[in-house]
Amino acid sequence: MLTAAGSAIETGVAQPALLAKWRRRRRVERTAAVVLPLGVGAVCALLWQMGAAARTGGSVLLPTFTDFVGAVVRVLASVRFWHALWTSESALLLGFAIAVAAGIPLGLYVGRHRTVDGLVSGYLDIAVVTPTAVFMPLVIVVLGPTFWARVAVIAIFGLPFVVVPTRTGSATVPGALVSMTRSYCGSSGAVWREVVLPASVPAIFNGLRQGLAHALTGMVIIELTFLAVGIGRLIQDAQAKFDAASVFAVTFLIVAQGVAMMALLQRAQDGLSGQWRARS
Amino acid sequence: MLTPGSRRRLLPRGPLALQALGLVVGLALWELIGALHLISWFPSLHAVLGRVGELAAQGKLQEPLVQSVTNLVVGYLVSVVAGIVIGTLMAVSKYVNFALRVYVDALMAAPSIMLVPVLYVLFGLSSFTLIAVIVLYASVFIMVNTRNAVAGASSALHDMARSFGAGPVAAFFWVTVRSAGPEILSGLRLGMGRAVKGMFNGELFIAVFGLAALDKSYEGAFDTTGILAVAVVVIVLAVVLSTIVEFANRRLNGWALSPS
Amino acid sequence: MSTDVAVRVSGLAKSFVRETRGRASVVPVLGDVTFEIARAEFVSIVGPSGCGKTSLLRSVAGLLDVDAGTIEVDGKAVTGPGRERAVVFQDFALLPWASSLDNVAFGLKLQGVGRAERRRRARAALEMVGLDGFADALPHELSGGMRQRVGIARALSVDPDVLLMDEPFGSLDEITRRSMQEELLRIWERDKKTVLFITHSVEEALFLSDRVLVMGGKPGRVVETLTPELPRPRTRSQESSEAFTSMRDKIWETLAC
Repeated sequence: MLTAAGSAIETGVAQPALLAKWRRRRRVERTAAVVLPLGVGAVCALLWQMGAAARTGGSVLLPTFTDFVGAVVRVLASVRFWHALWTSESALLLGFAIAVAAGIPLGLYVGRHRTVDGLVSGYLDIAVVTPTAVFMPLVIVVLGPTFWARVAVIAIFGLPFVVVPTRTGSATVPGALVSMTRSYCGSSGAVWREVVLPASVPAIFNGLRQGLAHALTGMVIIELTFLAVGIGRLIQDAQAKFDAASVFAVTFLIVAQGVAMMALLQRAQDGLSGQWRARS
Repeated sequence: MLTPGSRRRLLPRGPLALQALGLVVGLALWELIGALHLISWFPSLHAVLGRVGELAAQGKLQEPLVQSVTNLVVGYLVSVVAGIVIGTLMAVSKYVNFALRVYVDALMAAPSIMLVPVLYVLFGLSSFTLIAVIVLYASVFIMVNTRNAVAGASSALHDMARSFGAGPVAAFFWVTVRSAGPEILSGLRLGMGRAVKGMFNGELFIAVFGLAALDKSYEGAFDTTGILAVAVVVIVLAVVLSTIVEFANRRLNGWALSPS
Repeated sequence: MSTDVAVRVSGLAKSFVRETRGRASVVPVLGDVTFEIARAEFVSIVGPSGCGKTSLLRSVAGLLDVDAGTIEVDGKAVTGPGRERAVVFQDFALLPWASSLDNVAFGLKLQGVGRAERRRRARAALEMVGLDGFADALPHELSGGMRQRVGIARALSVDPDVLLMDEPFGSLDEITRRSMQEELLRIWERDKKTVLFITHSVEEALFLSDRVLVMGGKPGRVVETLTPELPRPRTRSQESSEAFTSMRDKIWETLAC
């Protein structure tokens, strides 16, 4: 019993030191997590500034970092940018909505039926590795240079990437859960409602994120290559006027928007699955 | 030699046969719809394949194909090296990960095509721009997969190696890298898909190079047969290249594909 | 028991820092663990999950730094992994891409033994555990019991002074488990190595060991030491002997409080 008392005293002394050491390390890590990426960004901005400034004699094309920052402010303040953004993203909204409305049910269904899955898996495998842009000229020839052509391209870009993760999700629903529901005389409707759908939620969100990323690519690529409207038009006009700073600025803003949208979806997913875990 | 083991390996043929059946039915439907002129603009399969043959015979296909594939190979190799090295560093060092994580995640989330105009400003009308686009498309995926693979490699095996006297470096190369292999290779496969997309989308933007330039010229002429002919070539190219990487994966990592 | 001590652990303490919802707290796992193992002695440590058994074994293996206390093996302080110790892992820790033979030879390879020599020794070790026909099999082609035989062969092939076994049969079914226990004793009777055997099975500990240390409490420490004086070689019939059952009941009593 003496040893037990001794050990209590000993660990009692050791604990604050251990905790302090851990906290110190934690503080260093937290600082590094903020300072290091900012540092990398700052070094890149500096190199960019110096590189561009050194080249002013030869090339007027390359803007300096400060030109770029100025252009971001200018673009944000211009009515034209917001107009272009609406033109582009109204098509994105509709196209992505179509991809989601078609892709989620399709993915869930295919994942639960082995035969159907076998029949379509070849197409899905191909769709994932093929540049969807090869079909863009076809869409334009058929639908003309219209709003609907853009919507169709965006939907085609997004669709496979909504379907594939969703299908994986519904295909990997734990069999034990399905058996359990059946053992309580649950109908196949109940299996879908109570087990397959909730279990596929993380996978569906995965599909939403991947689908949105590709839909966004579709939106940009058609405007940059075949139908010069919206954001694509803005970039091409700036390019024609050798206004590289504006090209960089618009690019930056659209990229930032894309990253923000992905982060929002990720947060929604984390929140939802967190709730899910807490409930079970 | 037909051992029980090799017979078991024939089993995955089931879904494979279905997959083939699905594709054959799809191609037959394509031929039928096209041949019966059910949709005015939709050419039949044999017309499209005939066009591919014609283009090849006229030598119109070879030059753009060589141009595209050359850029692809160079860009892909650069991506593989950069992706694996940087991804491994990010997995091994917390601080490298802190420094680069934000940027890599942003590149993963952002539509890479957006950056093509910027690369065009930087490198102008050259195959260098196209290679840069391919690297941009492919390297990030390889990087992220490598990072996750190395970071998630079995710590139990690492402990085992250390308990038998391996130093940190030996344990890293003997065990960690090896057990990260399958996931790194699955990143390489994803990267190949991305590289083909980068190749085509980059060409489409610049519009004077490779297969995409050919594709674009048919759009101007409302030539749907030509457009689909190019699509067929690109799809076959994408599938063949992905299959090559997949094949390498199976050869090197058969152990990870079997149930354990 | 002879006074020749193989393993000496004294005053061992280890705590971990755990973070829950942003608040850090110290969780003491081992508090003042002290014991000795004589040369050629088979010692088991039995205790409930979370009592620090595995942390203790990892410390002795040199895979875990401790906060306080000392560990000596063969009179030398442990500061890291060493050749005189070999570990048998709970989840086997076999390289999934390597054959049984290469898995067994892996420890020898890391210790710089030449190719021909290590293949010879690995074959001998495989034979010892009864797997001579499975040298080329990959781990996923083997059953759980066979995989752990490979793990044991790997540890034996480097000819350690002390064998550290971390719940080696913990993930096997009861039937395989019992035959593996008998197999282990058969191998151990040949050249009696010093063994530190971690388990959560009271019967396993009693059946195998010269001495059983019962761990418990938070932080974990040795709360009871028992010496099952059953004659060797052990047989299953001893499990129904008075000595065995009374000792088993005593351990259960200790663990209950």
